[in-house]
Amino acid sequence: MKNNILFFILLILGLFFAGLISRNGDIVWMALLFIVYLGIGIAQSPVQEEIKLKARRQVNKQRQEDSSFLIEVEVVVRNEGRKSLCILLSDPIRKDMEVTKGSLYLMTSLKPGEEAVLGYSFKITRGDFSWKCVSAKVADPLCLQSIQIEIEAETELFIHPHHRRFHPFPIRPWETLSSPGLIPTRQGGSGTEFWGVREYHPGDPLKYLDWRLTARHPHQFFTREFVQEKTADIALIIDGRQSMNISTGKENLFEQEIKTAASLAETFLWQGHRVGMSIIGNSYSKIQPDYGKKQLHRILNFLATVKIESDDGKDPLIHFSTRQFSSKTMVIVISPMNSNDSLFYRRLRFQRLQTILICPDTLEFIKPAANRETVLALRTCRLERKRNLNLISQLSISVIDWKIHEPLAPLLRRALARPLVARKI
Amino acid sequence: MITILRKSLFYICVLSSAITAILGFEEYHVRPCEAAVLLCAVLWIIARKKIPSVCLFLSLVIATAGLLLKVSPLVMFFYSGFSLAAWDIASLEISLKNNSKERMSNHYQFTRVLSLLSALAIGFPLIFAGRTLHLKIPFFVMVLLAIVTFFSINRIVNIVKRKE
Repeated sequence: MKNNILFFILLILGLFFAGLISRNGDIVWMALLFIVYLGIGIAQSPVQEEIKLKARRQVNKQRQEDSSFLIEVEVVVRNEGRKSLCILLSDPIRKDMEVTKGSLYLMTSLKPGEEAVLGYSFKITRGDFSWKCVSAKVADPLCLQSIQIEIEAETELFIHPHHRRFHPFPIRPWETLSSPGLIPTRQGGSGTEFWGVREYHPGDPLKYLDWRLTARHPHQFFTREFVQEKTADIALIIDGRQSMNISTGKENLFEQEIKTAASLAETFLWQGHRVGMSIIGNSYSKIQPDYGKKQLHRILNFLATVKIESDDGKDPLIHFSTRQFSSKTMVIVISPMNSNDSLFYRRLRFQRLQTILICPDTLEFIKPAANRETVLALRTCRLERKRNLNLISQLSISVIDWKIHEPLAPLLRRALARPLVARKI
Repeated sequence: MITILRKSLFYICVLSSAITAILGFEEYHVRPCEAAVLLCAVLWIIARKKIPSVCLFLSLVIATAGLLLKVSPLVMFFYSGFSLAAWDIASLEISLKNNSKERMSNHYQFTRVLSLLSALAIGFPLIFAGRTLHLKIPFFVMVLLAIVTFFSINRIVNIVKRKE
């Protein structure tokens, strides 16, 4: 818009000087037409004080068949001033937005009290969308001069990764938390399953008195004990390093990891465990461990926002602090590991942390064409991967070699129900 | 409907300007200028969404050349006026290219065309009035006027900058 004024000024000056140089008055008169055009534009230009615009935003989401979401955005802008305004409304576009209907721009004019609707819809698989305002360029009708303003229209929307809770499976952590849960411990206490009978201690609840045994032994009281059931502290770690991410067509390995982490978090939280989450990347973002639905919401919101981060030549895994986990934490790492990562797992084990590695099979994910040239390379890659996984499992880490297109639940059930016994390193 | 009207108006402007200019040049048998007008009209139609400003500039160069070659000034004024209208409609089309809802911009389009028409309606009578007055302005007054115009424009630019 600003360029238009400059262009017209140059045209007018050009005509003026051409007329002066050639001493041709008609050329100068011709410039008059453009001066009038410019003048009309400037005369109708908006004044900042007279602009009173209000906006409200409505966002609807609909799940699609391909597990993505269709987001419908409608921004209604109302002219509450006394003058008609010509405005260009626009919403910021993001890389991952695939606009399917409408557009993010609307050029319109609004009479006093009139409303304009900027509507568009886009498809997204996951992400967080927080709109604070809508941009508006208020201009004269000839679009020569404009005033840029931001109209408040705040909305926040989280699209959680598509995931499914696993069928509940028992887990056997090396150490449990003191709070009651679902994991049976080898201790008597309050629970549901019968553990044994012991002599009555003052303070024991009367409902646990074994009346039959007491009847058989007069002058003595006995209390029934149950197996203590406790919760586990679980830390989920997702590998968000760019160097470890692979994309094939529409599929992305990192997205698969996100979905798996979401499923695991929901399963564990539903079982009553304490779950936290971290991302291996440059920013080291994490969610503190906690219980319940709120924590699930927090984790899913977190997973909606996480992005792959560039490594900048440094390996973030080297600086990833393992001290953030307590000694009772069971660490589950979802990572397509490489040979340099073994140090990190060694650090985890030095801290005596029970660790489980879910390692997606990248070769299976890429599905490279097996021809004469690649067959040897593929074989070497597979051997190297097997060797790396063996090295990790020698550290008493349960390794789940996950072929992405196969279900993960049975593998998890097998690995978590019977964990490897901790060995001294 | 309004899109068809807008496009029709653009083509009418381009064709009218081309026909007017060709008829004007034909009277004085200036063939190269006729060819230039034709080429410019083709450029208007092909590149209206990309380089309308270049097209307008070329049209003005042709109009100036026509005036220097003593072609009827009325014809050249109409040629530049129609070119300005074509430029305005082309710019309007560019600004509406990514519009969300065509329906919402109808009133804006109407307002813009009205502003353009008012500019032409004021501009042409002013030009004709100015030409019929036959004022004999000395050269130094003309230079003075040019300087005053330059400073006025400079002031306008400053005001615009401040507002933006």
